[in-house]
Amino acid sequence: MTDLYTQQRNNRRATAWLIGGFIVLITFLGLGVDVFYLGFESGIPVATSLALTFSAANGFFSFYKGDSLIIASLRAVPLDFNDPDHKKLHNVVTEMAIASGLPMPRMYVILDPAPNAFATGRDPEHALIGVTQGLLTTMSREELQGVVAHEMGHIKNFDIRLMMIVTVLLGTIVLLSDWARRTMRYGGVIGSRNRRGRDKGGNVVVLILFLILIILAPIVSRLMALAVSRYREYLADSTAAELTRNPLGLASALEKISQATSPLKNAHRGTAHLFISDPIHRKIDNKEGFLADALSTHPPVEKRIERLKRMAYQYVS
Amino acid sequence: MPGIILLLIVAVLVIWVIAMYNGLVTLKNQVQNAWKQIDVQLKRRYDLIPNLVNTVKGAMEFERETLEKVMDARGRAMGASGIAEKAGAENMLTQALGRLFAVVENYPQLKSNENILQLQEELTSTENRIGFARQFYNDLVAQFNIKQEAFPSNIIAGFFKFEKAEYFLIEETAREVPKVDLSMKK
Repeated sequence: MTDLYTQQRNNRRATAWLIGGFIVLITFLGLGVDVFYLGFESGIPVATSLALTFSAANGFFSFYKGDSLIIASLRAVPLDFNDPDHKKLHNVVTEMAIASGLPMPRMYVILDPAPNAFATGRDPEHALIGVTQGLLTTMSREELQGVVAHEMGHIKNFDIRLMMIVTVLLGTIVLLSDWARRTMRYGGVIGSRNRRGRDKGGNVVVLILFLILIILAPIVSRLMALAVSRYREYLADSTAAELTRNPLGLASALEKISQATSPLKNAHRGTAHLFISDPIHRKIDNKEGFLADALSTHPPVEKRIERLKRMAYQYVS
Repeated sequence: MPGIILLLIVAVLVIWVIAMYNGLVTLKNQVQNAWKQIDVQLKRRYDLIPNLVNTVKGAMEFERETLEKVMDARGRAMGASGIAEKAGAENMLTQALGRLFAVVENYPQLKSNENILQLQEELTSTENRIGFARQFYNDLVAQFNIKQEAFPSNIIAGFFKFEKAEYFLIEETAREVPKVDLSMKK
């Protein structure tokens, strides 16, 4: 069994690797533009410096403002205490905050009938939990408790920080490789004579490698994000069981969520990995095997339910 | 040279003792904090009960006894001191409340009353909060007590006269009461 501290250490290590890999990737992209388009004429790697400065600035901004951006993009609204469902959510979150010994997270509701939930933030002191109106209306109290406990698990394990960084880096890489691609196309017209003037042989190979990198960068970084997020769902499930001592509540909630057919309207690929269950219902989610493991943000629901049911025996006593 | 080595050993030992001692003090404070958290939730329940009783009183003239029992149990729980006594009195209160909610089920006009539904949600939540606060408290108590028994921290605990913390226990009968929960299901 992974205890909390091992989990937090793992998360820190994963975070360091991600940021390291990210810096290497950005440097590559920048150097590529410098060498093949700008031709290093000034002797200063202009594009590299620009890319690194931009991603650092973008990274810091998103790290501190990312939660508000996510809330805005999902059109989530604060709780309305006149609504008994919202009051109930507030109560359940309070209960879970007590059970976990964490401070109260901020709470939001997405006005969408598809049942789902997510948590985000940079640390437990700056965390938030969002659920859909659909979740509130379809779940019993016990099931809602399981879902909220799962999200509290993400907060407690510092998964939210890692996922926030992944989200931020993903966005930056996609943006930058997009720019690089455009620069190359533009440079291909103007700079073609410039480049042809130089030695052709070795540079062509490097150029092809660079082009492949530009195309692959968003895909590779997405794969990284997915690998990170799948594994964490299982861990948050077991933390939820530990907090509620009632794994069956979450199991039956997952069953209900997986049976719901309508996708969450405002969720998209950039935020899908934040949710308790894949909000855009990709087919790959329910498959097993290497490809599915690599391409899906969430483990198959049946497998998660099965694990929770097995956990239930531990708490029967 | 041997003097320096000796000095180093002593220094390391002192640092180790300080770290152990601080660890124990931290846990002790965490246990106390967790207890306060239980206390906050118990108080919340004391405050909610008169509201509930007043709201149902009119419709439940025939159930005077049930209501009185709830108020009695509340009074006794508020007066209880010490963890073991408190736990016992709170169990009685939980049971009395469970009976009251079971009786409410027989009154259709109460069951659909907006106020009662709200109060019921609040009490259910408070009940759960007490349960989770207790769970958190007991987990900390276990950590604290194990540290006082396990080697080598037991030496420090013994030397500085740390005392074991008391568990907040519930009886088996009280555990069956989540009947309140069932009535909340949709």
